[in-house]
Amino acid sequence: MSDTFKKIFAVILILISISLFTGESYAQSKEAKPIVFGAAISQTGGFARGARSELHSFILASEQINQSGGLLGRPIKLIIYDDQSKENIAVSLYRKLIYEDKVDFVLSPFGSGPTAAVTPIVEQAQIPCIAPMASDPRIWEVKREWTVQILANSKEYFREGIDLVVNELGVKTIGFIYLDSAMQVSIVKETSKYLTEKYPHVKTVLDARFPIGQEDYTSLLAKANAVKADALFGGGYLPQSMEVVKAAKSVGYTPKAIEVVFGPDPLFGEGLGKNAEGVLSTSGWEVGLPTPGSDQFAKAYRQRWNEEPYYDMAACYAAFNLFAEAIRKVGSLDKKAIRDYLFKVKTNTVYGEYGVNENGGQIAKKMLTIQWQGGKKQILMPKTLRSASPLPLWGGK
Amino acid sequence: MEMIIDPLLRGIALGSLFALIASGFALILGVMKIINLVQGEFLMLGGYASYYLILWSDMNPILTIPIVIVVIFAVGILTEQVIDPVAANESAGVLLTFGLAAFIRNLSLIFFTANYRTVPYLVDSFSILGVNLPRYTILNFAVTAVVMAALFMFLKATAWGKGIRAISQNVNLAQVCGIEARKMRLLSYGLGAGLSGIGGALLLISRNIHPQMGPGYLGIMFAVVILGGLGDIVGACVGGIIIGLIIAFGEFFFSSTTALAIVYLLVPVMLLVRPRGLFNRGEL
Repeated sequence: MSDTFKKIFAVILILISISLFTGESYAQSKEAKPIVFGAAISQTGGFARGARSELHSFILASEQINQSGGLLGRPIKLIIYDDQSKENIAVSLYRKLIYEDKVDFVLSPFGSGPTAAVTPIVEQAQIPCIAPMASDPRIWEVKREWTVQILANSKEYFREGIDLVVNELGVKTIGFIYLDSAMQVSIVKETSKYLTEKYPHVKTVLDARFPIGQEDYTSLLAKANAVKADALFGGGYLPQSMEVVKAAKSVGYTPKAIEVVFGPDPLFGEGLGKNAEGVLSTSGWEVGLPTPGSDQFAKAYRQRWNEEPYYDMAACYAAFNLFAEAIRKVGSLDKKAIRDYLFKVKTNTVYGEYGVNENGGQIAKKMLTIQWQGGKKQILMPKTLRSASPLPLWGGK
Repeated sequence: MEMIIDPLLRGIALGSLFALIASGFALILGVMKIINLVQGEFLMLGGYASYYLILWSDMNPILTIPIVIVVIFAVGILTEQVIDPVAANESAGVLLTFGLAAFIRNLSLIFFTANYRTVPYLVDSFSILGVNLPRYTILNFAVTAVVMAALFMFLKATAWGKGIRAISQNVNLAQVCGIEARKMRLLSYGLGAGLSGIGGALLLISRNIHPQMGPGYLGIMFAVVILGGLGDIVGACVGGIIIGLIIAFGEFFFSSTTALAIVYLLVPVMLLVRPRGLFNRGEL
């Protein structure tokens, strides 16, 4: 072999090696550089039970996306921390996610309070954020440029329930007993406003808040009994909602209706047994609801977590997939373009309608009113989706 | 009259439960001289022991109570083995119980999950003096009365009970008299754990239980023993009833938030004004 040929051969080998090396390293870099989503989700503390729905739904959604080839040909990665149900810890963790872990996108923590706490950090960092578990409209009363809301605005929560009890059950007086939290206070405030505007003849005869450390619920429910509230609205998160119903029964208070917020959770029916019979609850989604991919989601969630999904799960799953959809539509990780998509798009998700106002607050999503009947949940409102006739509370008249 | 009777009855009903829950804390404090921050976790474990007995054997919730006492007594005995070596050092003891409590809480979160548990039992109401109360308040009151009576008889009339009291009053003198301090500490810690365990079983019926519930009730235990006198079991019983009454009257006339604020205001006030408790015989 001549020297010239040897040199040409060597150069070709080198070029091939370089091309193979760079090609492989490029592929490796593509493979090794996933799109990173971050969130702080309570795995301990008071929100642990509720927040588990957020954690499980994000994991399920991210697994499904990765199984179907990822986003833009890249895998996605979740960085999840435990905020211990504390707002100050959530704030530190979002700083860590954004500035140390350098995540591409964030999702808000569980609850309106923690979401309100971390939103200024997200806005300052100018990173797209979807808040799947915050209903307090005050978060979006000011202009948000990077954070959008998934859950229905709190004014939607009891609206259908109020229509039901006033128009169909003939309720004339209403009492509110509710947890002193950002979400519950906001829901009751908006419901009161709706009641005053639409049904001025219906009187609010009780408005009582209780703290998270409430020791005895019977005295509050005895007050509702004493003022003869025809219907009671309120509760809190799951445990407080159960306590309110249990205490109502245990002081012999039998109004025409009781509606709470976290009633769709299967533990509500399990823990209260026959005392859940006839109790109304607001809900954002139920198994079998005719939304896109609803049945597939319910099936996949059951398979993955061996647990029946309810609306929290559907909302979080929808939030994660909305992010994925935004990235696909934009075709890049351009944060501003993805932000613009999230602010402009009107779409129908697993959870239901999605569309936000100029502040990022949810305006499209409507809520359902469900009732526990025979150990199962039936949709009563809106009437177009009604699956059963309303039954009296605890089998009464 | 209803304005007095209603909160009075509710307060006594609530306070009897507080008395039961806090008496174990007071017993351990009196004998071992440590602030046992694991007490809330014994309460929680008692609730879960009862829950799983009901779940697995469909047992009547009341019948689970004796078993819960035995189970949580045993858990207490095991826990005491860890605490005893450092119990002489109060600061180390408190820190150790703090760590143990966090460990048990998080372990429970793994085993029991974060799900809230309750059982629909005795939820209907009964009427007394025109006030509707939950039927489970009869159970709470009856169990507290029986357990407290048994505890007092045990402490007054049995050799072990007298031994515990002797150790509580003067450990050196008691040892000179042949009382085995180690055994008495072990016994009182187990009993203290068991008492809170019963409270947990009652809370499963009247409220709900979850792995993170301990610290919330620890706050009430503190308030009760500071009111009744640190380490004073009789004081804890009276303190529990008083705290229950404050909450009930506070809720009736003001609001739930105000009621709790008054309770926790009592803690610094009592420590400043009457640090040895209502009967002036606490350990501080």
